[in-house]
Amino acid sequence: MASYIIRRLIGAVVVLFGISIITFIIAYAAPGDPARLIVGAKAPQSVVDAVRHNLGLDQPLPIQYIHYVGRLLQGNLGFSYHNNLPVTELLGQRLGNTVQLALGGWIVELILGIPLGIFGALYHRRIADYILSFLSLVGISMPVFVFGMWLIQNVAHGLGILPLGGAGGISHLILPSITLGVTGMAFYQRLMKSSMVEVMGQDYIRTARAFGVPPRRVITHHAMRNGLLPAVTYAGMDIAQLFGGVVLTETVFNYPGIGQLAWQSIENLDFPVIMATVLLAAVFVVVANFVVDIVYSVIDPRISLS
Amino acid sequence: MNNVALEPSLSPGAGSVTQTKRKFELLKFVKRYPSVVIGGLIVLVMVIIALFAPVIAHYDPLKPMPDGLTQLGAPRPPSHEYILGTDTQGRDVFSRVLFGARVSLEVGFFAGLISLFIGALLGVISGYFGGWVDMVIMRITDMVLAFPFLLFVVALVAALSPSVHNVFIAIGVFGWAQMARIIRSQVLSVKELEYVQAAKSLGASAWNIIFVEVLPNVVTPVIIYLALAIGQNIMLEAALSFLGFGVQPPNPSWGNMIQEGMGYYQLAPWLIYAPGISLLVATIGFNLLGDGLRDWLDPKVGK
Amino acid sequence: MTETLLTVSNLKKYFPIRKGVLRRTVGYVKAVDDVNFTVHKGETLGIVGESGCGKSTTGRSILRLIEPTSGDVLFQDKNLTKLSKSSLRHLRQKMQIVFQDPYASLNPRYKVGKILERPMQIHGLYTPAERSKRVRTLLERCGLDPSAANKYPHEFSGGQRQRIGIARALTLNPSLIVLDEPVSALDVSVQSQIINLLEDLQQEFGLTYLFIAHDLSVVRHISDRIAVMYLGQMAELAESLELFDNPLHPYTQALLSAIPVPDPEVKRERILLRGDLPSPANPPSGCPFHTRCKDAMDVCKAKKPVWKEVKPGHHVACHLYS
Ligand SMILES: Nc1ncnc2c1ncn2[C@@H]1O[C@H](COP(=O)(O)OP(=O)(O)OP(=O)(O)O)[C@@H](O)[C@H]1O
Ligand code: SF4
Ligand SMILES: [Mg+2]
Repeated sequence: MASYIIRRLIGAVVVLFGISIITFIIAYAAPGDPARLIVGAKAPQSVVDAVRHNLGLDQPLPIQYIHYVGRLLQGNLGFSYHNNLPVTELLGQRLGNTVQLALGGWIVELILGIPLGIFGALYHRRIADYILSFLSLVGISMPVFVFGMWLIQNVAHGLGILPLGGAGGISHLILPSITLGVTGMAFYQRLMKSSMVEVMGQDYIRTARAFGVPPRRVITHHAMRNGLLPAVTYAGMDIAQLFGGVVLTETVFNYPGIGQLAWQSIENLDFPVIMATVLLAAVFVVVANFVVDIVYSVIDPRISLS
Repeated sequence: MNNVALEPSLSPGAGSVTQTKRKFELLKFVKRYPSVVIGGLIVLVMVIIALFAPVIAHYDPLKPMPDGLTQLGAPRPPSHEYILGTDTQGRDVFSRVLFGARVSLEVGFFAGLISLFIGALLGVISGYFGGWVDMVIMRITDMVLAFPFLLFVVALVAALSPSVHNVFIAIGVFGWAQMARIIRSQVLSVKELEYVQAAKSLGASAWNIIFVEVLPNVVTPVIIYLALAIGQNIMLEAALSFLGFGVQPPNPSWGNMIQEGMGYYQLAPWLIYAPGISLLVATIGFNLLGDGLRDWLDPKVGK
Repeated sequence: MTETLLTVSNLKKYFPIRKGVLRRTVGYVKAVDDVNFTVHKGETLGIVGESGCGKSTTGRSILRLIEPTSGDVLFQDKNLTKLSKSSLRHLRQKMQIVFQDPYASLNPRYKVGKILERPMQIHGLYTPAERSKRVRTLLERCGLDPSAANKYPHEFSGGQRQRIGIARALTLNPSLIVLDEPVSALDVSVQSQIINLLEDLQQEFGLTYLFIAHDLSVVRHISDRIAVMYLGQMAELAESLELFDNPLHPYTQALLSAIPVPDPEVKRERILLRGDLPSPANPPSGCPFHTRCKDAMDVCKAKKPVWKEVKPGHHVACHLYS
């Protein structure tokens, strides 16, 4: 067990390193001179050169990277010249909002996906199953921003019951969470259904039925517990998916979170912020996967740890 | 595969019988794998639209129509003249949707090809040669899978400057990881088979074995995955264009059309519905096709 | 019969067992552990042993289909283990293998004709017309209709597929063929047909066989000499008649006693093997057979018996004979 955890930890660190290198290279390859961006178009070249030197931008690439990582390790994510704020502060203002939204979206995914999956398994190959499968296909195929717009128009505006956008309290979270949840739930639904179908076909479930355990109990006690496992594993990978959705959802609903910040900073070529948001997202994904792997191996004794 | 079942009987002089039989088999296939048929039809229609967009469209997608706006300067709703209405600049939405299909397919397909190429190369090397090469490639693959995909693609496109080419390059460059994994696992299972050992004992070189014995067995999962990936890529392209990093106005893409229509959802909802529904149907088509092909061609995945 | 074609000395193949954070090697499966023997030109050497005792690994290490851990394999005066990849590929024309599983050993995607032409293509032998003619001749020689070239492997039965596998091995005119349990997967009636075919082909083309089987009765008639393996090591090697009439190693004796005797007059006491086959990852100390041997002595646990020739042409590794 310990060796397994250590191996996964080393793997996680390596992944984060790789991501930091790639973001660094992308930022480096981007058009425009950051020094020029800071001092403005009219400043004389000598000022630009001085700023470049101050920022260490005149040093060789590997040295720049090492300095960058050094700063990262000290918790210094850089300075956003566009917003005139340290990046950590910018992120701090918005992190809470995004976490709320992602959690909201995840909860909707589970609330919709798991029961629909169970339903599909119970009515396997019957008309209800086909209808559900089609709905899940529509969900998977539905672009986040199209569905978000539809909700804004028909629910927020049409019914006039919920805010059109922005942040502040539960009411602002409902539509964005539904947007994320509906477009993401299909994965859980499919996973839940297929693993339930598989589990229900297994001998011990049949035996339980044959011994007269009532069907509801068979489902809640045996099939569901085993069917939930894959759903748990998926949660780790889902964070990456969810984060992509968050960028779009926040843009559509004008929701002040990390996703919106990322989008704005890319639009403004504000690279310290871009790199920080990408790294932050990656940290979430990697940590979530790590936790899920460990949890999974604890729940399911069949997984050998070596 | 199943084409054995689709083959007509060989008895001579039974022409009409064979024909009815063939019809019957086709019907059976449609009934058994409706997703392949429906998805395939949607994809086919989309390809035709994309190829013949200039012929089908009555108007120039880029040019504002002289009567494209109402007296008040508002977009015209769908009418006999403009089937899907006009947009805020008085351009024909239907023509723009048709040309948008072109961009979507182009990006979806070429990004898919790039992913396929990178993924196949790495997956084959990783699976066939094993050892430390495998370990390094698989760690990189894990890493790419952990990327916040959309953000990376957006950042790369922004860095390269937005254009159709850069969009599919960026999507392709980050989208190969899943492909590499699928191909690797396929190669791993094929490589231990005795006929691969036989080829080795006959003196075939490693790359000869890869091309002749291993790769043909990888084709099926690749086709399935490619269909699903194209659907994904189409959605991504739309998202990028929606965010302003994809196809640049005035060129039409479903994503930037939705973006442009966003401020007018009360006044002119067709500006969002026309490209939005096209996008939805296209993605459904590719997903149906991919899922259906999996049911049909890949017996390992139960139905 | 005394010209040597193949000499195997001190052949070892250890598969590492890895564990831990750095996938450190914590032990080895000693699939083949210090095996020595020679094969004469034109003869059939049978190799017999229980499942998992390392027969296939021996065969495949000799051909370098898997890289041996150490040891030398002299084939036609060339040391195969030291050969470069390209000269090895060239030399592969002279040594071929027929596999156990007739279903897995033919690529289902190609027609039989293509499967059989491929080896000649790889080595750039013959013109295309000559190749397809040769394919037909070989198919016919192996008891199949030449039209088989236009069919796919799945259209054939197991026995027919094995004939195709044999034909493929013959396409390059080899001198040595390793037969890795070529009949184990077949019905008994088909088994003897294939064995007869192999014997005919040997006569006709002057082939040398290394015939692997897990059952003594299968190799009895076809083999000139027979080697018995146990847990990756050689137990006994002798001419067939000698081995059957005068088995020295207690393991060979046990195997022989398990063969049903056709003549009811001859009464033979069945020697039952005690216990289970030990794991090759953790073989017993001393003589690997001592955990199951009816004659085991104290020395057997402590010391490994040496492989030696106790009579002309009769080798055995057992403390009873030292
Ligand atoms: N690639 C491998 N990695 C690890 N262990 C292996 C590998 N190949 C074979 N072994 C082990 O080596 C031992 C010998 O295997 P081998 O296939 O040579 O046996 P065999 O005598 O041919 O058996 P069978 O009659 O079943 O074919 C077995 O314990 C097997 O588990
Ligand atoms: S050495 Fe000892 S244990 Fe081994 S076979 Fe001979 S008598 Fe038996
Ligand atoms: Mg074997």
